[in-house]
Amino acid sequence: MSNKVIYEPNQYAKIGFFKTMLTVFKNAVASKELILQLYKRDFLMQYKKSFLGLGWMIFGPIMGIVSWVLMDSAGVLSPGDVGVPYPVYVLFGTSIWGLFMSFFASSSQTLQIAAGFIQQVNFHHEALLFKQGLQNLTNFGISLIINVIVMLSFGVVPSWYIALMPLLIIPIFFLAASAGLIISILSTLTSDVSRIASFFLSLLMFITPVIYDSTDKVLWLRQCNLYNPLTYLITGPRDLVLTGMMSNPEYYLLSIFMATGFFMIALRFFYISEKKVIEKMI
Amino acid sequence: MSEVLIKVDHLSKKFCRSLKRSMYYGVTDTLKTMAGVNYSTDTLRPSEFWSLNDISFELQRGETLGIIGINGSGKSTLLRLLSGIFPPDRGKIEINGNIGALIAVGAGFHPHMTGKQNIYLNGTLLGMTRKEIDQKFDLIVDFAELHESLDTPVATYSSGMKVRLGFSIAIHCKPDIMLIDEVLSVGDMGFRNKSLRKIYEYKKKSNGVIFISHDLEQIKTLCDRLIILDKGKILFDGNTYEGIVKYEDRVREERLKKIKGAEITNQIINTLGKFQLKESHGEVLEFIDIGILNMDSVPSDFIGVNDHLNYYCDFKLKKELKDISFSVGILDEVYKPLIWVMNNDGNKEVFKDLKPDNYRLIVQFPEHNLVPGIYYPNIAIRNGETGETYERAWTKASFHVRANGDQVSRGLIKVNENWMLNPNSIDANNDLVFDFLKPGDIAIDCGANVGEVTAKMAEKGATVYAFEPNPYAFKVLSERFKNNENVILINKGVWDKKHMMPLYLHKNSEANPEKYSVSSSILKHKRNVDIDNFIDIELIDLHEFIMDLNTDIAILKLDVEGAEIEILNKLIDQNSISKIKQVLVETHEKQMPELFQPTKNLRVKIKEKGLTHINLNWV
Repeated sequence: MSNKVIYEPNQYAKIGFFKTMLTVFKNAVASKELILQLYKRDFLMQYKKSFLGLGWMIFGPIMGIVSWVLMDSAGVLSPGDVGVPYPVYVLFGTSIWGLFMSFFASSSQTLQIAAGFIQQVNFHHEALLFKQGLQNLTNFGISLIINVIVMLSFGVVPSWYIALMPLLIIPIFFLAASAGLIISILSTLTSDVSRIASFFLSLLMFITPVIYDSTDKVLWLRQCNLYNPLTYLITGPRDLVLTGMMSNPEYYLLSIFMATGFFMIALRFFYISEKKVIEKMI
Repeated sequence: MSEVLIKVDHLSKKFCRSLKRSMYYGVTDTLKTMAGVNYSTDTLRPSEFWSLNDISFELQRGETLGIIGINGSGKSTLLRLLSGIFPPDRGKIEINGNIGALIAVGAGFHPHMTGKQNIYLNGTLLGMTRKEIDQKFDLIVDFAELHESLDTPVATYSSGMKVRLGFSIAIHCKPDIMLIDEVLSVGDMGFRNKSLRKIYEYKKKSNGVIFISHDLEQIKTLCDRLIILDKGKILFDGNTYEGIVKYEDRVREERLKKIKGAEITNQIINTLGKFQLKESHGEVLEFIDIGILNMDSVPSDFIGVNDHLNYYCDFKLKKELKDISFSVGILDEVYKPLIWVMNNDGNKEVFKDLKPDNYRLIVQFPEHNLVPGIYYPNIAIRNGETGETYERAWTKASFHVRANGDQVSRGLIKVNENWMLNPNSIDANNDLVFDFLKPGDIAIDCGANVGEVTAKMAEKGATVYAFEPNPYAFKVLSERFKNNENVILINKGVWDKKHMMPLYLHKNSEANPEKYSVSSSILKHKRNVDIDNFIDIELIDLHEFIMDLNTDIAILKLDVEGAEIEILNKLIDQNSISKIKQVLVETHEKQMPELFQPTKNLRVKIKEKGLTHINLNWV
């Protein structure tokens, strides 16, 4: 059974927008074994040369908890009334924020992680994006368990919405990956891009009410919080799990819509451009 | 069943020389893509160049196509385009079937993962499913010879082991079309041989193979067709052997250009131009020019491999010279003198009493025997009487002996050789060949000499006619068979006509006529005979003799020191050969090269006529 393949200039731009989405999805499914192999390669190997090994996956979040709890008990932070014990609030919120950041960081390295072999072998590069995401999810999964332990130890019982976490994460992935994919493409051309992007993203943390509550802050900050889709994508799941309620669910849905739209645009852009920039990866 | 596996149609690919510009183009092209603006890639912007320019070719099913090129010719780029790693900028590629590329073995290998883990990773990357890898796992490990190292991290492997593993995984992918880039040049000889066998298996299974290598011998053996790439264009597409010759010539031309470029630069620095002097004595004479002349007697940079070599040297003689001696040399690229002649060796050509003037020395070599290559002329001029050296020079006036289309450059000198391969013949002492003889059979022994074979024939009771013209040998024969009624001795030679001829005796026959009687010959040009020492002998026409016998002949043995060719030709042409059941012939082309072609023609004739009862390899 022979399959005919044609290579022509600009061929990827010639197929339609929605066909691109379908193609990417089909390619990702076809590459599931590859995603798994690459995931095993990078995930398991990252702790190979250390004594603690995979223990770092637990130790990392624990160190985070400790630093937040210490700062709170020392009265360094004045976050206001957040409705639940502050350490729980900030830990869970920063975990979700951390997931967003890690999705962004890893997706902006989509092409770069395969630098050693991307010019030697032809394979579906979409696999790299999903493999990156899978790695981040695994880390988040572990930190989620620790979060639940912390919650329980502070007397906070997470609501049943915690079971929806896998779904609630998806829009976060979409938003992070849309920026990440664009950065990945541009980073193969110039290293200026990733540096600028990192800077902007760290600013982003301040205009997202992760470690504070928006209510009693200055106007410009409240405005930023209001129009920032990340606000809803991060605080929505957090509030849902911690309190069983979400304020502004309509804005949350709008944010999901925006994130999905951005992701599809970024995916299209990635699909058209990636082959052309790979040859510049030296 | 021919099917086009790959069709490359006016393919072009460009790259940018300047890094900053490349970044700039990359960013602007990408932003245009983001904005949904279409842009064309078929023209060159500043700093861009065509790495591949308008390439068109096809790969048929079962074909092994070799691609060679001078470095930077675009070969690896072409492989990446065919694999789909790089997109084309112009033209089109159509591929029927799945492609496997061996561009760099071990792609994706993680040093901390074990060999086994890397097999799964690399195999998946190359397109195999988990099930396929499971099935082929043992084969992969066997081929790579890594049974013991499977569970150790790949970081601990030697580079040879890594290559073996990577190659083994790739070769077991079994794609329809295999692209191989230089990877057969790694590993030890045993592994390289294994890999070559595997590639050959691919050919036989009528897959397609594209093979890039610098090893011209591998290309010659494996490839049915050859493409030469030069600066991104196809220079040649055709027969492998012709292509290799053309390629070698092209490489030499490039090298010559570089050398000449250096010479021209030297001319500016060194006022003596082509000459790089070792010793000079400018008062008596001075060099002006040196080089070679082409067939039109004009100084040239090249001659053909079959042309005469006309070496010249122009010099100015300032004082009268009674006797001049020239020492002329042609050196190869490592300055080894392949040709070195002097005019006054054994007084070949003496030049005496020369008056002051400008002279041109020409040394003509009607057959230079140089293989295609780059050579340097050099010279020394001395006083023929006193031996003083006036001028002596190495030169950089290199010239190129060009191939004439089928002469590969190997070794140092050009020769014409003959190739022969015969199985080790039945020993003359092996009686089996005469086993079938019985009383009443007729046997003929031509060149009976002292009767060794005659005796074996006679042993079986056959009637033997033994011909021996040499009187000394005949004397021994007569003694030997005097009481044997079945052996009829004839003191004559055999040929394709009745004749009287001198029989030239062996050079040493005076010392021991009987011993050396076996080597006497009617052929003057047989090397070991003395042409002044001969006996007149009578020759009969063997064909007529056989016809006169008017009966079937069981065995004819011919050991007649070169005359067998003409005799056999007549027997075949006149069809008396059909009367003979078995013909045993000892041929003599080894001793007499002139017989090589006639013997070869005879072999062909015998084969074409299906005359299987003639054995030309008998000893």
